[in-house]
Amino acid sequence: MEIIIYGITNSISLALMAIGFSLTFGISGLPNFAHGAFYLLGGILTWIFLNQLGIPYLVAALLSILAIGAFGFFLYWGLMLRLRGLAINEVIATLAVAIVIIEVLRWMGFSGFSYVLPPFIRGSVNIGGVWVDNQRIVMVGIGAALIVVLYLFTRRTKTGLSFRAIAQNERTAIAVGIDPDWTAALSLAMGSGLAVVAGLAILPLGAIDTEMGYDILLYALAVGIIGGLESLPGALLGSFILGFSQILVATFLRAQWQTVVTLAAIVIILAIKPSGLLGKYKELEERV
Amino acid sequence: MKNKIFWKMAPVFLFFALLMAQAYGAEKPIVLGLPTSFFQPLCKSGKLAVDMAIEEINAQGGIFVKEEGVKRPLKLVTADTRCGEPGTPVQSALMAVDKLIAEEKPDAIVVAPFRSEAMVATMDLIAKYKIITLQTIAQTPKLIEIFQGDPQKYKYWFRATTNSVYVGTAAAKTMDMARVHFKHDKLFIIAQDTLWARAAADAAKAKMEGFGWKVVGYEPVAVGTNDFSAVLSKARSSGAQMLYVVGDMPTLPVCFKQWKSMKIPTMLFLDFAVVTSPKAWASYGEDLDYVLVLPFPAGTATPVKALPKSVEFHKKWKEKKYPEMDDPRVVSSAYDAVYILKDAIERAGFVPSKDPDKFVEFLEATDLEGISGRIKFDKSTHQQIFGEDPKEASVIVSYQWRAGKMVPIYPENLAEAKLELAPWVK
Repeated sequence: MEIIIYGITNSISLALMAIGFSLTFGISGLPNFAHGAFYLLGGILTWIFLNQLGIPYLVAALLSILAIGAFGFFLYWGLMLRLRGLAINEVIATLAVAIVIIEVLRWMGFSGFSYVLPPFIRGSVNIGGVWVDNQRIVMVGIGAALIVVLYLFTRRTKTGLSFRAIAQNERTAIAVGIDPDWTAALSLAMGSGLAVVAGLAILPLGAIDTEMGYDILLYALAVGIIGGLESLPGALLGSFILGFSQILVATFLRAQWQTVVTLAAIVIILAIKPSGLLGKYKELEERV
Repeated sequence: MKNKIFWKMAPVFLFFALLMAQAYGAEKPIVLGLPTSFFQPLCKSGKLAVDMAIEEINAQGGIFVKEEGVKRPLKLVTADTRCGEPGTPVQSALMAVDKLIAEEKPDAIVVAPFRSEAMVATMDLIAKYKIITLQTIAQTPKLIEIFQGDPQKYKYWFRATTNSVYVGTAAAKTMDMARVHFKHDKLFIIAQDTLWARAAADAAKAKMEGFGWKVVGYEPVAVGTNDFSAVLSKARSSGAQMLYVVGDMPTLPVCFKQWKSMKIPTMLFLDFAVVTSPKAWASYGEDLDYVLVLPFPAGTATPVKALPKSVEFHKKWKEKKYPEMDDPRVVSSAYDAVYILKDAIERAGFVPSKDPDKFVEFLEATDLEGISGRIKFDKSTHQQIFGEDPKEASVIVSYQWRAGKMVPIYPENLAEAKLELAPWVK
């Protein structure tokens, strides 16, 4: 039972880390390597709003999501627009943004484990004989809600449908009047905002530290590579495979192999199906 | 006309005359060098502790140097070795120390580099420049080995703080209290999978087995692990009664939070610097309740009633409005190091740089009361001696977090409360 419960919570936490990255990449083809840095920055902004400015938690969280979302939006217009289509340049540029954010935060002293976000609900509950902290339950709730909201958003709203149109066939989408730059900017803004949502759900489980900026990116990439970088259902599948593998390895082998599982999964999937399990990015080349 | 100009200029002349008189009148300061890595919170706080000691001494006119017949003030010069920052090579730290010694010509060094590797390499610089060094951070026993390899060459080095053997022993004795009080004897170890943490875990394992404990599990966890449920479940199913967790990775707080939320029926000894600060409660709150911690040496994190100097130290720290320590380990040693030097200079009658070989003898004969108890050095190791009686030696105190307070629980002669089991363990 413990394996099932903690397998689910671990998987949802990985899904939350990856979902924003997948959304942006799936729609605009933009690999946002600053995803982990946005996760971190969102957490620190919330901490500042909460502890330095005395803003209520929920308002602070909302402000951080909006601030980082806006940052992602302007990052597209200010920098990424000029690099569209140059995949390596996009990676280098977003990675540079990530390094600047993380290192500036480090320089400002945001390391040392003093920066902790409080859980939404303290305490723990017993589920079938297994004690689980309330924050993990909240995290699973946020993850599930996010999946439903994203599903409805991409199928029931005009903007969501335009996202899917661009993702499916950019040229046809342009032909019917969808602005690809506006859509890409919105997707980067949403992806960045989702990175903050992930941070707000996961960070209360531990502490905020600048090193996490790089770790989160690694997890988001691992989940994406397993499930398919541009596929949201793929991200979900990837996180469940990885989440349960980590728990099973730690339970039946040794905990020290937990991170090895992540890297091994990347290597295996890249060797067998480079597009990921549900990815279609290079599906044709793979078949050939 | 000329007279008018003279009278107008008179105050200016007078001002400069006074300034020159003061400059000639002021005694030449005794220069203390402090090369360390200011990125690390414990080094930042350590410097504040040194500043505090220097201000106190200078407020009394400085240190009386008998041979010169004057009181000389202390002056601090610093260099950032950056050895506590990720990726900084040892060579850079060495260059920073070398530059400080060559350019600032300090009479002695206090605190010294943060990382053990950098400190090991600094030993040769200390020997080369024959500069008296009261080192207060690096804990590796390797420094004693180096000293004992050629005591004549390395005699200028003194470790005025704990070392990892003393700390490991104190940690093991703290955990062993559970055997004495509750007849517990099953230990589970979770160690971050890095060399230093594995070494600490191995040392704790050996010590605990020596006390009659059975090690029912030993799990190294990879850096970056963000879910400890599986390993904690193993601890539960192994029947462990004591959990020893050692590491410094950013995700380690997840571990003790899960220990509590999963109600793992063990005591928890956390070898994790962050939770040794009284400040930690503000960040982690009740998740820390009943956790055992060991900020070394005694009195550095919080005052211990039986150690009056520790009470005084924390009172002064508050009065100075210094920020609360993020990592209090060895901060009190930095403060004591300045007083050890003062005491030795007053006994010797000369400053360390005048005759370092002779000065070593005065440091070896140190016997004064410090924050952690009686300060004495072992002549055969140049290591500050630690024991359990503050009247005989310096001490290390372990604490248990209880409702926001760090309560001393070991050694029993200094304990302010008895070891308690967490409610879900009882």
